[in-house]
Amino acid sequence: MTERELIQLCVAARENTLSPEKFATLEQALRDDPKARETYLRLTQIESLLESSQPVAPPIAQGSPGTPTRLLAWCALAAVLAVAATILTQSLIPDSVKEQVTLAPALPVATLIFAEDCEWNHPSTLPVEGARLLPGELGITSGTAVIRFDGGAEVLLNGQSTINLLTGGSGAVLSGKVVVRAEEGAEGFTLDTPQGKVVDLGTEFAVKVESSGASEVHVLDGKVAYGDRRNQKILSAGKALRFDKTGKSPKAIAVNSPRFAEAVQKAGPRPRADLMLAYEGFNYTKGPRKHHQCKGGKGWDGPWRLRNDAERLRPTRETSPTSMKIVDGEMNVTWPVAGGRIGMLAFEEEKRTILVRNLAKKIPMDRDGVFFFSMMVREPNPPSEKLKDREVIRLTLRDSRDYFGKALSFGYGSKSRPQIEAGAGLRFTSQLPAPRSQSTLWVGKIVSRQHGEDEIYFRIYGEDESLDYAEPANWHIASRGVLHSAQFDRILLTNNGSERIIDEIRLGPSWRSVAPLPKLPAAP
Amino acid sequence: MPDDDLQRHDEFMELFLENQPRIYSYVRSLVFQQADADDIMQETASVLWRKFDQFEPGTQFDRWAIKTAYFQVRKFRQAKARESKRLQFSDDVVALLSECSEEILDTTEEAAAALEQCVTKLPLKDRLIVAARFEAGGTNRKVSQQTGKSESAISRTLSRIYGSLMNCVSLELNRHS
Repeated sequence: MTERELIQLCVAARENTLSPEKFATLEQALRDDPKARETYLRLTQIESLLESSQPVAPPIAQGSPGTPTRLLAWCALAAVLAVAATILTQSLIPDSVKEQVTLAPALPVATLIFAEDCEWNHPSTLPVEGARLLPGELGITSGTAVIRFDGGAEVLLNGQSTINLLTGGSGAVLSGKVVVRAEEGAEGFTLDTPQGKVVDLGTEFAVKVESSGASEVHVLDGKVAYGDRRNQKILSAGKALRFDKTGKSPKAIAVNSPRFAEAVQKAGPRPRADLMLAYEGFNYTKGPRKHHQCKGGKGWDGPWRLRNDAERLRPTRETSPTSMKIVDGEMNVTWPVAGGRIGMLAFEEEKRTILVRNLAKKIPMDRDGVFFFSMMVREPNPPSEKLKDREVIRLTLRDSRDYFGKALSFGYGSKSRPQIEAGAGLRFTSQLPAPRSQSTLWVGKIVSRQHGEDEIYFRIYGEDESLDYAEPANWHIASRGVLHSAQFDRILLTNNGSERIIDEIRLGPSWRSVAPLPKLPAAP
Repeated sequence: MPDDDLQRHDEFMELFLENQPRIYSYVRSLVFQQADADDIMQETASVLWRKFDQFEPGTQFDRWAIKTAYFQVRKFRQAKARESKRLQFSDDVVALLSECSEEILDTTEEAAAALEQCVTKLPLKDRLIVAARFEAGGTNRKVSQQTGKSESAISRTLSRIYGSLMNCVSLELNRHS
């Protein structure tokens, strides 16, 4: 057996999900093959290191009650050694009960991640790109739409097609053509057709349902299972079947469907910077600039400024520098940004700085909507040990009507982990550290709701990470329990501690309006 | 307690805690569940303390401790065989694994350092799965509920991730050796 198969058997054995027959196969392999034993032991070594191994309570020396100090010292030492031993898991596990981390999706079961030239079946409920989708029917009469189910599968609708969203891992094709991509981890995604279920076993297939009730399944990559539970069959890549409306005696036909990526490219997933609500590229002359001189970009009501008295907790104290420092060429811009190396804002080391700019158009959290922001941040040097208690870099949205009450902040928490603060003590910290000491791209998404929980997402990309045509499937943070009623009309940039460079602040209604994506080649 | 005994206890604790990752890694390789490994570690620690007079200073504490841990594992397995219907490795397989573990245990500290680097190289989606699975109380079922993926999909994903981490750790260890 291959090493991959062996690892799967070992993992299943330890999870108690292996059949007796396969367990016996594993045992025999371990008896016969020294390499299999080595693989098993290397696997369990990884597992034991990943587990949060709490220190075994030290055996108490007999007659010790008279020496509590000694025992406390040992507990402290045990804790220190446990930290050293579990530094890996410490970097993965939140260390404060105040911090909340979640991977959990909200009640919706999917996200509309791409929509181009779509005419929707029910115009009264026009979904926008980035919208979270509740269970129910969704259809287009033209254009291309891609729906990412919360279980990971992506379904592309092209032309006249309607699907029913059932759960995070299942749907039904009611009519038209869809192409499904369900990559690793999303296997098991199920699509109902009039003739039965199609279950993705990895990775790509297409389904057509005609108005007559006949349907087709085309397997583009991997395998699918089809048919009912009592009579399930497998269909492999390169094969296709056509079912008449009775579903009996399916006929083999030629595969005739574009691949998922091909279908996306054909729809032309171009960047939509034209939809940006606000933009700041810091394209100012290099050197110190007075705040009132920094009034470029679009979507703003006035230039950059310091906080006024009403915006400071201590009105008489403003310690920010009296000018903005504009620099060139100090960010390694690996994403396509026009003029990307010219004009960026530099925050100087150990000069606590808070800058404010008023938005021309508010971001209302008290009605249904989707907003994205992006910002490039570079730290030329690692966060300083000497300054670590003062290290702050944050983008904050505030509501001028309730300046200190209603705010939403994106930044770093402890141990370089991305963090969102949503006011009222709600703080969400990623379990994972984000890239530091390099150019990074911060991206945030806000799904605001008039009724119900808002959803806030945040991710920090490193300079070697590429951006996809649609928003990421995985975010550093997905919030829970946020009920915001703010109307954000202020953006604040806060920096303290290390030197940092900021550029390309974008706000917009969709991923494609704020993400620095490559332009498509001009049509011949 | 007399000062001599306290001094002895301090010495024992220092040795035990220093070698705990290796001893735990050894025990964990021979039992399937983390809770069982924790129980065995507790018993092992107690027995080692009681027998500390038999330990010869200057010799390898981990080798000495692992012999005791092996007996505790066997005792535990005998008790478990009576009460549990879970499939367990046969005694001969456990003995073989125990014999073969020495070389891999010797790399525990370097593997821990390498693993820390290797985890950061995983794609974000994999790191999220690992973080959720290995947080306190994490199980495949909880990760499945959180992500909407099936438990079997989570298991397959974890198998793939382990494979990636094993390869990466091996490369790192070879690079440094």
